[in-house]
Amino acid sequence: MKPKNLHEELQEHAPGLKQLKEKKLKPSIPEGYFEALQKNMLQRLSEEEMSPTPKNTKRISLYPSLRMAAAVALLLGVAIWAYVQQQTGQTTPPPLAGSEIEAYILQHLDEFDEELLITYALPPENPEQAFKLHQDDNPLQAIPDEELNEYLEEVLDEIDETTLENLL
Amino acid sequence: MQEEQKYEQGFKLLMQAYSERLYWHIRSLVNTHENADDVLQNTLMKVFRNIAKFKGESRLYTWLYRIATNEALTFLKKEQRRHTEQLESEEKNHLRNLRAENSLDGERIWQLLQKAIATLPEKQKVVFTMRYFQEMSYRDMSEALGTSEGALKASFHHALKKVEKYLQETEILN
Repeated sequence: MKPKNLHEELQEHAPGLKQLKEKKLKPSIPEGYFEALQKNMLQRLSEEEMSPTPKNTKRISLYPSLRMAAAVALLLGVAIWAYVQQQTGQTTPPPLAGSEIEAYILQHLDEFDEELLITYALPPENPEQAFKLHQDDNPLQAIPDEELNEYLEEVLDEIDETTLENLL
Repeated sequence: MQEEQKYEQGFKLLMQAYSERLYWHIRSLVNTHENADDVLQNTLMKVFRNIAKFKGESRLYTWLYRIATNEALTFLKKEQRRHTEQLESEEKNHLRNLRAENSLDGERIWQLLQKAIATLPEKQKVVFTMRYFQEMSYRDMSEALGTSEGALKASFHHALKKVEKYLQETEILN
């Protein structure tokens, strides 16, 4: 069926509006407005010295969920490393507080290599060769519960259910 | 420097080609010239800032309309909060005066239509102005608003009936 044109639509649904439409509907505008507008706009542009494309400011842009996953994975990685060091009796500097690690990772997220972040964010292909996680020696125990809960609440607020399921 | 000049030149051509059409679209949403001027200038600045991001996924014309529509709606939301009460009290007097006139010229009809359009929900308001005043095709509207043609058609027909009814109730039609 051929689509109706505007006049046919008006005739069918609002004949009164069709009559109004046939009258001259445009209100007045100041004379020479569009010429003045063009001048004003060009002046505004030169005053603001705008550049339409930001130069040399390209950043690696990861998807927010991937950034969050990478941050969580890195945090776990650091915690595991600290735990393993502690268990093997090696001399290590005093452990960093969870909040300090988290703050550092989030502040310097853009400085990490993108592939490395993705590698950490993805589940290991061979779990036995990756960090050995056992329920009995959970590395998260190295982080105070309060800090861990606080961090997880913040992350959970910002993360959707599907991403969370994928992470877990 | 040369690149900036090129952008400015392109922007000038774009303004020559589209500013009048965008003005009337915005004006039919925000009613007064002063408001339309503000919104149009903001729209054009936004266009200039983002023209490099325009990837040609839609036509330039519909992309411009989308920006203009968003700017006008943002403006209306701010204005609505400030003027709702004032407008309601002025409206009755205004309509009474308009009805007292023997004939309705274009300016008065415009004002009456604006009153009627103001009663529509946001989406219908935009659809009505694009179709009734700008006479845009449903295809272009669909591209600009990201809504199916069928939904736009239904929206327009609802809006037509409401506006017509409003004008009949205020005795402008008949």
